[in-house]
Amino acid sequence: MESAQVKAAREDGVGSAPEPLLIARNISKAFGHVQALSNAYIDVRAGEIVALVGDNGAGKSTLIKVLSGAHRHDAGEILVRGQPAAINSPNDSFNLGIATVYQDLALLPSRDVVANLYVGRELTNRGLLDRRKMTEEANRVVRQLRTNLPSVHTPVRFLSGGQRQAVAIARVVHFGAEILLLDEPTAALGVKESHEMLTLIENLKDQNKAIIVVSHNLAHVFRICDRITVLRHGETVGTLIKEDTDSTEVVQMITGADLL
Amino acid sequence: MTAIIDKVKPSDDRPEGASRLRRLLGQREAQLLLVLVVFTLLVRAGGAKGFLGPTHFPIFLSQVAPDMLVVIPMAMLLIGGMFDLSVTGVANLSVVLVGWTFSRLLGTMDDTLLIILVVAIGLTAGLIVGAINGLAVTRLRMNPLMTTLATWWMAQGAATGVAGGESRHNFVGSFRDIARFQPLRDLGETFPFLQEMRISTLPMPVFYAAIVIFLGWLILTRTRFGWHIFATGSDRQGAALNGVNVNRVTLIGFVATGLAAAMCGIVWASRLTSAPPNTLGGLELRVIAAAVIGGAALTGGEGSVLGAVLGLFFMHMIRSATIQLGLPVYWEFFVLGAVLFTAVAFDAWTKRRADTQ
Ligand SMILES: Nc1ncnc2c1ncn2[C@@H]1O[C@H](COP(=O)(O)OP(=O)(O)OP(=O)(O)O)[C@@H](O)[C@H]1O
Ligand SMILES: [Mg+2]
Repeated sequence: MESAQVKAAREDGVGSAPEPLLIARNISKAFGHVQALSNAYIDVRAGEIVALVGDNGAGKSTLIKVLSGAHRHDAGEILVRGQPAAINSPNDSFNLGIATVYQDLALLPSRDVVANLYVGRELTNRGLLDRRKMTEEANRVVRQLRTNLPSVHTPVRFLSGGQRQAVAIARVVHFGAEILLLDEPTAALGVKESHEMLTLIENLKDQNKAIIVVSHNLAHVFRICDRITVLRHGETVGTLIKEDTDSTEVVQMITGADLL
Repeated sequence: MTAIIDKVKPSDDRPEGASRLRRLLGQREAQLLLVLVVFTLLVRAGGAKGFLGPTHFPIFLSQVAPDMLVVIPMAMLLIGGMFDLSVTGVANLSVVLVGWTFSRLLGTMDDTLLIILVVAIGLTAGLIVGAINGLAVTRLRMNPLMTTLATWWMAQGAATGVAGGESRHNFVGSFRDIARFQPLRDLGETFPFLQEMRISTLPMPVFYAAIVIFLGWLILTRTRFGWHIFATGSDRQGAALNGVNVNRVTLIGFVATGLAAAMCGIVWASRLTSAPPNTLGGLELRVIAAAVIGGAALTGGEGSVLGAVLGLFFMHMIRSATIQLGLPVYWEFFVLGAVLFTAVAFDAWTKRRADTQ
């Protein structure tokens, strides 16, 4: 299946660069009869953005969810900082320094921005919630992201798509995770908001985060990423280095059309 | 609810005090309190001069107290996106078990020991039914409506079965103390104002209810577990993806509700010193309706302890007022239904208004 060109690109990618922070190898995952992933591979280094692309149903979100602990994989191996990692729950993943923004954002619509930022890892003081500290921190984070939220006490269901996306991203950034998994972070956004989101992701790269971004928008992919991993029918068909390729080739790999 | 809308629109140009007042009046709890005050004044003007006056109020409190034990955990269950119909069956089962055991064993052991034993038996029944509900809904993914309807009938059937057609009467002894004991009575002798205000003669269930209200409020708004309840009800999957143990939240919610229903039964048995298996009727819908009137959303993720308390007050005030005004009691349910209808319609209206903003 794999052309020599693709193989070469994958090996080049590893080359002399530092060890990847995260490697997922031979990952497979079935939902009943649906084989969502079979032999998927992806890796990412610190200060690098890897785009994960593929058709609808290719298994991108499933791979993200395996890495975030939302799904358990049937087979395969995950290495974090070179060590084999057992990721059996969202907390396991989080404790390994992996933070995820899901495709559907996984926000709590009736809860305010503060509660959404801290869900699952609320701050306490002598056993009771430290609501003042959480509010202060939330205000700080929101200001940092330069998003114009009305108030951190606004329930999320009253926010626009872009504002929700910002809350989801803030949640990831705030806890200082080193590895960020972003599933279609620009899908719900307009042109201006998309642009801001991409800039934000580039900023995170400059902060030496290892970032995997799922996207269908190849213009966005080519603007921000360093490498592109292509998934087809649950299998990684290859990883291309941005400089060595163009969108035509990526589209061909996504659809499985013959390479020249 | 409406406060939310005010917050979305930046309100910097409004004077701070006025905006704070508007926000306060936008809270469900404040609106409800206002309704209760107006209602009280109307009932008094309508001829029931003593309505919620110094004589009536302590009696009113002791009438509300047993329901109050249940409405708090029920509100928390609703906020967590679940609900429990089985509470009436559980309460009646607890009534019967307590009455049966007490009348069998009276005289065979020390009174205090016996009371501890029967209370433990009653609570165990609540614990078991609550755990069955919780495990069925979480582990077996059974539908909460049908599950708790089934366990309601099973518990009610067990209650009538154990009673075997006869109810235990007058198992008095010290058992009355569970409900009648007045912990502040001695204090009243030292501080006459407590007696004058009839605080020192409040019976125990009022204090149980006060404790449950305080604990409910503390857990819901001041602990991680409380926020996890909100998170679970707001979006179960989203909460789970963020590391909230949603099944634990649900299981604990059902167990707490079961225990509270059992405690409600114990208090009733003690008030009546008699244990018919149909002591409680309509408890489930009364507390669910009270919580909803108080702002709890059936879809989960919203509600408050204070709202549930006020909602339950309102339901009992309607009952008292009907009686005190000498209105035909047959109309009580009509009024209750109309109040519930208004509350739900009001919710729908605020939601619609918010969506079109
Ligand atoms: N929880 C689930 N249960 C059953 N099947 C699932 C589940 N999640 C995903 N699948 C299936 O697995 C396959 C891969 O889905 P996935 O969501 O990973 O695709 P994707 O690449 O993210 O697609 P998209 O671009 O549309 O988001 C699909 O066939 C999908 O129907
Ligand atoms: Mg997807």
